[in-house]
Amino acid sequence: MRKTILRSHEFYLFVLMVAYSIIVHSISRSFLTAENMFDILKSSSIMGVMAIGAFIVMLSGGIDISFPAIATVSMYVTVRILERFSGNLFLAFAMASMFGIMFGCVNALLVHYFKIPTLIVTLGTSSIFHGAMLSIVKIPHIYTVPGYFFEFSKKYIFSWVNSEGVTIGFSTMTFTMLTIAIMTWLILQYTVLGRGIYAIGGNLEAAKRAGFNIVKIQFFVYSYIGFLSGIASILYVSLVRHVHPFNLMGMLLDVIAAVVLGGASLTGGLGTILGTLLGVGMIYFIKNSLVLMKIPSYWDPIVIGLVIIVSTGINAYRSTLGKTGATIIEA
Amino acid sequence: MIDTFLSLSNVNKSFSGVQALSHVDFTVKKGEVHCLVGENGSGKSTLIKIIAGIVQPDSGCEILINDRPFRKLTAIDSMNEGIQVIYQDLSLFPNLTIAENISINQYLEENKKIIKKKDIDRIANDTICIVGAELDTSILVGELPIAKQQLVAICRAITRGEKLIIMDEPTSSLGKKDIDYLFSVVRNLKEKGISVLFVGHKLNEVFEIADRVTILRDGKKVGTYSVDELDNERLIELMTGKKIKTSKYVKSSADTGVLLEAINLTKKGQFKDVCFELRAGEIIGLIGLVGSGRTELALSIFGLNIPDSGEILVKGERQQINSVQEAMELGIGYVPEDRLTQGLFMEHSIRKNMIVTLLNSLLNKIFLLDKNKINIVNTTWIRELGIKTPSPDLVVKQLSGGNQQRVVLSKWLERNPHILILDGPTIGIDVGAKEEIHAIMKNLAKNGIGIVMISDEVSEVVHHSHRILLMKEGQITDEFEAANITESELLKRLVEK
Repeated sequence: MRKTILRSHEFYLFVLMVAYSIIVHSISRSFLTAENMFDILKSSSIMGVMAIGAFIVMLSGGIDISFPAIATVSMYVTVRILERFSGNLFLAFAMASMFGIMFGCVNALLVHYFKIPTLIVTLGTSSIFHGAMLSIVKIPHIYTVPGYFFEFSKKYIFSWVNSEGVTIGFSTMTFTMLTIAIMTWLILQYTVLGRGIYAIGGNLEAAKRAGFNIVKIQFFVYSYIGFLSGIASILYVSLVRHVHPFNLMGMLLDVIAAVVLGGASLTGGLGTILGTLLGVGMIYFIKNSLVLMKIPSYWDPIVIGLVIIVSTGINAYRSTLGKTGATIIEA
Repeated sequence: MIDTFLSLSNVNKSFSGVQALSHVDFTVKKGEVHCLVGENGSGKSTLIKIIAGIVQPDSGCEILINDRPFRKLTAIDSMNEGIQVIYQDLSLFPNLTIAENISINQYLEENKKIIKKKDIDRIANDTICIVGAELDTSILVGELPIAKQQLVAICRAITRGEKLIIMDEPTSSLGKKDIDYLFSVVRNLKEKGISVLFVGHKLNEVFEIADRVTILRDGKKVGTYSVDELDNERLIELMTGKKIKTSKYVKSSADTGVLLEAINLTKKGQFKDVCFELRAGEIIGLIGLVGSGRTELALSIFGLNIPDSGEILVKGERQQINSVQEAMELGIGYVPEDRLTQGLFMEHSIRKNMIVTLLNSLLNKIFLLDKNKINIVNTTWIRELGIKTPSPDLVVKQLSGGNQQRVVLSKWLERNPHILILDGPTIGIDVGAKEEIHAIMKNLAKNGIGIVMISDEVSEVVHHSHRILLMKEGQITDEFEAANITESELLKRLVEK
C-alpha cells in the first residue's frame, strides 16, 4: 500500500508544492505564514469548486469549457432578481445552482442526442449563454449587490488574532469548497454512479455492455458541473462584491490547467479529487508567490505553463516506463 | 436431470438479403466444452449474438434454455438464464480495480446504489476462488498482462453462478503458456458444471479442449461431432468443404542467389540463435504459435526490434539495420500482422493510402505532389492486384478484408522491394480472397522477389511456400522442404512439445 502512495501523481505534486514553497519562502519570508496560507485557502476556493466540476467531466471522458459562461450568467440573473426582492444567502445559492443545473442539462442533451464531441458542444453553448446575456442586457454590471452576500465571505469557521493584530481564520468559503470536495469524493468512491463515471471514462463500450445507464451518468456529470458553477458564482460575488460580465470568463484556462496538473487525463478515467485540489493549490501558490517576490504578473502564465509541462511530462514519462516494463515477454 | 442446457432449432437469420444462418440446429449440454468452428463469414458470430440475445433470429426458430421455451430471447433474458459472453476485447475497465471490475455487473443488475468495499472484495474473492486463480483484487486492471485480464473477464462472467460462458476467440492474443493456463481454467469450470462455448478457428486448440465440435460453413451447420470422431484432416475438410488440395507449390527456376541471410540472431527473451537464408524467387513459410517469437524476428529484420547479437546479410553484405528507413533503403518491405491498425489509414481513400510511403518520389519540379504521377501509381496497382473498387477515392474502411490487404501490398510493391516480409497475410480474409492473395505472392516470387510468409496456418505454409521454417519458443527448431511434408505431419511437429 505504501508503495502505491509513493507512486501516485498526488504524492509527486505534493512534494513539488513543498519544494516550491521552501524555495519561495527563502526569497520572501512572508510566503509560508499562517496568514498567507489561510488567505490562499480562501481565495482559491472559488477555483476549487469549479475545478471539481471540470474534473468530473474530464473523468467521464469529456470536457466542459462552458462552465465560466454558466457561472457568469447564473450569477447575473440571480443577483439581478435578489437585488429587487428581499432574499437571503441560502436562496442565492439555491437559485444560482438551479440555473447552473439547467444550463448543464442543455449541454448533456446536446452531447447525448446529437453525439457531438463535448468540446464542440460546450464551445458552442458557452458562446450562446454568454452572448445571449451580453446582447439582452447591454451593460451587465451590478454594483448594488445586497449586503448579505459580503457577510458570507467575511465569516470564519474559527479564527484568531495574531501578534500584529491581524485576524487569521478558516473561512466559510474554504469550508464550502471542502464540503463539496468531500461530498464529491464520497459520490465518486462509494456510489455505483460515481464508479460509473470512472467506467465510462475508462472504456465506454464496456460500460454500455455492462449495463450502465450512460444517459443518466452524462446528465449527472453535466448538471453537476452546472450546479458547482452556480455555487462558485455566488462565492465569487460574495468575495468581490460586484457582478462583472467578463472576470469569471478568464478563469477557464486556469481551471483546466489545475485539473490537468492534478493528474486528470484528457482521455478520461484517471485522476482524483485530491489531485485536483492540489492542482488548484499549486496554481495559487504560483500566482501568490510571484506577487510576494515582486515579479510582474505577466509572468504568471509562463510559470504556470512551465509547471504543467514539467509535471505532466514527468508523469507521462513514468507511465511509458511502466508500460514497456510490463510488455516484456516472459522467456 | 436434464442433460441439455441450451437448444436452438431451425435458426435462420438474414441481413439485408444475405443469408447469414440457415436452418441451424444447435445444442449445448450441461458441463461440456463445446467448440464452434468455421471460417470467417461462416456465421459463428451471428450465432453467438443470437444466443446472447443481441440479435433476433428470423421467425420459425425455437429456443429452449433449461427446457424452458423462449419466443423471443432478449439480452436480459439471456443473462438471467445464466449465459455470459466474453468478447474478444474483454470489455474491462482498465482504470478500476480487479474487485470493482468483477463485481460491478452484479451491482448494476441488483440496482444497488452504494458500494461497500467489503462486499465487492467478497464477490471478487469468491469468484476468483471458483476459477482457481490467484489475483490481488486491489490492483488496477490496466496494470495486468493480457492473460490475467482474461481471467478477470472470466471471473466477472461467473459472478452470478452462470451456466454457460461463451468465449469469442479467447486465445487470439495469448501466448502458448497463457493458453495452457486458460485451458486449465476452462477445465476447472467444466468440473463445476459450467458449460463453455469456445469459438475459434485454431484446430489444435479444438482438439485439446473440446468435448464436442460444431462446424459451420457458409451459414449452414455441417454437423456436430464428438471430438473423438474427428481428426485434423477431416475437420479441415468439413470446415472448408474441399478435399485438401494435394498440389504443392513448385519452385520457379529464377533462383539467382541468396538475398537475405540471418546468422545467430538473438534477442533476449524473444528469440535465440536464429539462422536462415532467403533466396531470390523463393517463398519461405515461417510457422509458429503465438508467442514463438516469429513476429519479433520479422520486426528485427525490418529495423523495428534491434537484436542483441547476430548478423544480418543483405545480398551478401553485412548490414546493421537500425531503423525502418534503413530497411526500406535495402529493399526490405514489411506488411504487418494487423493491417487494420498498423498498415492502413482506415478513414482515408485508397489513393492516399497507396502513396503514403512514397511521397518523396511523387513530387514535381516545385516540390508539390504531382497528380499525374499519383494517378499512374493508383491505376497501375488497382489493375495489377485486381483491387475491386469503383474508384481510387473510396475510403479504405469500405473495402473487404482481401482488398484492404491488397492496398497494403501495393504500398510496398511500388517501392520495388527485393525482400518482402508478410506477417499473417491472409488473417481475417475469406477463402476466395485468400487464394487470390496467394496467387499474387507467387507471381511476385516469379519475378525474383524473396518472400518470408509468417503464418500460423499449417495448410497455408504447406501449400504456398517452398521451404518451411518451424519456430518454437524463440528458436527455429526444424526446416522442411514444403514438397516433403504433409499437413498433419507439420501440425504434429508444431504442437508437440
